[in-house]
Amino acid sequence: MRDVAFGQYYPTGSPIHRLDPRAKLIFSLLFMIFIFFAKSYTAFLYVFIFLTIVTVVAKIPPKIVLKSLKLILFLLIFTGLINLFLYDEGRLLASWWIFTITDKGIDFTIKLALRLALLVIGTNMLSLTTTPMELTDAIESLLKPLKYIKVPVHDLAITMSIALRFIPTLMDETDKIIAAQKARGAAFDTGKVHERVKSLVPVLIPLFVSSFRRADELADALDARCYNATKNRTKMKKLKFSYRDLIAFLILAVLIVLIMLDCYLTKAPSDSLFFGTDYYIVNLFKSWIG
Amino acid sequence: MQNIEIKNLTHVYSKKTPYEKVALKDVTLTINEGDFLGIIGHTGSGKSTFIQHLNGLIKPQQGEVKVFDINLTQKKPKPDFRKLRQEVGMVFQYPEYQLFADTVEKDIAFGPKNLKLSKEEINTRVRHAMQAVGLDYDYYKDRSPFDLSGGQKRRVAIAGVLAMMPKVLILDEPTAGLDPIGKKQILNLIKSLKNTITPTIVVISHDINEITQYCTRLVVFNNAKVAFDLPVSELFNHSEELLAMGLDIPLAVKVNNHLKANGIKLEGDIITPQDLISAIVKYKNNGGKL
Repeated sequence: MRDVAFGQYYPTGSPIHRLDPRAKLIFSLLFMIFIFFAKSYTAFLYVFIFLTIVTVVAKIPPKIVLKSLKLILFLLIFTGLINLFLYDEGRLLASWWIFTITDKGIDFTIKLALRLALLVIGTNMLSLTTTPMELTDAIESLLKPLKYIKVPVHDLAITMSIALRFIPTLMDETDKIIAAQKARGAAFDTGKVHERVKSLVPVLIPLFVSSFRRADELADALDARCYNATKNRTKMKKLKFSYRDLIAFLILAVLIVLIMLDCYLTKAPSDSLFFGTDYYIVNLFKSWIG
Repeated sequence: MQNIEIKNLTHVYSKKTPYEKVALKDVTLTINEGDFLGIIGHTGSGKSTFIQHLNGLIKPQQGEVKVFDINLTQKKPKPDFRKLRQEVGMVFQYPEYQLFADTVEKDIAFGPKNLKLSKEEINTRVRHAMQAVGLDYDYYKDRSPFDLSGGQKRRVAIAGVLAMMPKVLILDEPTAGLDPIGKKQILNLIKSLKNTITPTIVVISHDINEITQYCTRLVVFNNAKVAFDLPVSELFNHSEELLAMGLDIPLAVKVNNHLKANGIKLEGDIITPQDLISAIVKYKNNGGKL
């Protein structure tokens, strides 16, 4: 349950943790966009090296980083199998009924899996190195321009941060209520489906009751401190871009440039199995072997 | 007779993460039938974790827990949790937050219902439990538990546990958040339960003045370990150590220690205000000067 409570934040105090959260958010978006331009194995290698550098600098154990893959493992295998068996372009290697395996199919499957895995690992880096509160601040700051078209950005942000703030509290509360009802003999993990659903009632009702109570108390506490979301408020912790963010951006820029060069400047024939830099490397090998 | 036996119990929360926390370290403790056991200690000293082991809400990671003839450490066959939870009743902190049903009667019947008892048996148990906590059955049975006062809600919640007919009753901070009258009522209730329904009672409390009024044996938790396990009359010979742990000692003990320091020696064990008053009266009657 702690996993949910703290988000996935993994505190190490590394330079990556100390980056401006706005910068990290933008970097993650850029990463998400440009990973779709990675079309050759060489480009994936660039991305892999980049992520390795980030992981090492962030001082996060590789095991924790790979944990995020567990959640999409099923998706990876499922899409992988479908692509592998149903992709019908390219040279046929094997076929049975409607299933075919082609060389392009294998290539496509591996690349799709790589792309998904690297995408998840990369975006997960954001939540591993940034607290949910920092993220909320970053979103508020980045959405500021919307204020001019009368979007209540600050209200949205404060609602979001309150919601985030109360996730652990509600999780704790849920744990306590579940424990209390279990102590009264409630069984949550046995019985038929409708029995199990029914067994949630004694948990959900107290949970709702206490959420409303908390909301009331919180509203009173905000009022008592003259909280006013509409006036220009100042911040205790101001977000500031620094040289660190610039360096991080330059490193990301190198990755993006490498991916784009690989994608657009290399001239592999369209009928070749290999794309981008891969084509040259394979040719180089071929000429070596003779 | 030994009811509950705990040997070398160790529990660590969030193992192998940055949030790792040792809650219990090598705790060995025996609870005998007829014990009126008080547990004191700071927040986070491990008391709550400890008691949750006693009815299987937390599974032992390391060490042995044996409750009656149920061995919680054994893997096969699985320990009988339903029987365990029937025999060890647990009243959590702020138990009124676990109320969920639309009438008092239904809420108290939740436990016995989970035990799959007959309708008649459930009804007798509910009546019995309500009588035990001092709520008139006919007057309260159809009222919503959410409309009652704080003290009454708590009594309904305690009745909900009593309806399980436990042999051992565990209460976690039973008087927290109540007004003085509500506190007194709950205290008297616990005292009377000891003589009527559950022969063995374990109470966790912060209030040393309160807990010394009814417990006969006190266990002090400090830094995840059992620091003291003594009869009430002997524990406060260690006043200095308790104060060094940041724990309070009863007012009467404090006064007695001051008197001792000033050369006035009173006779007998002095723990409660009543002890102190009678000891002073005796001292005066024997010709002592104050």
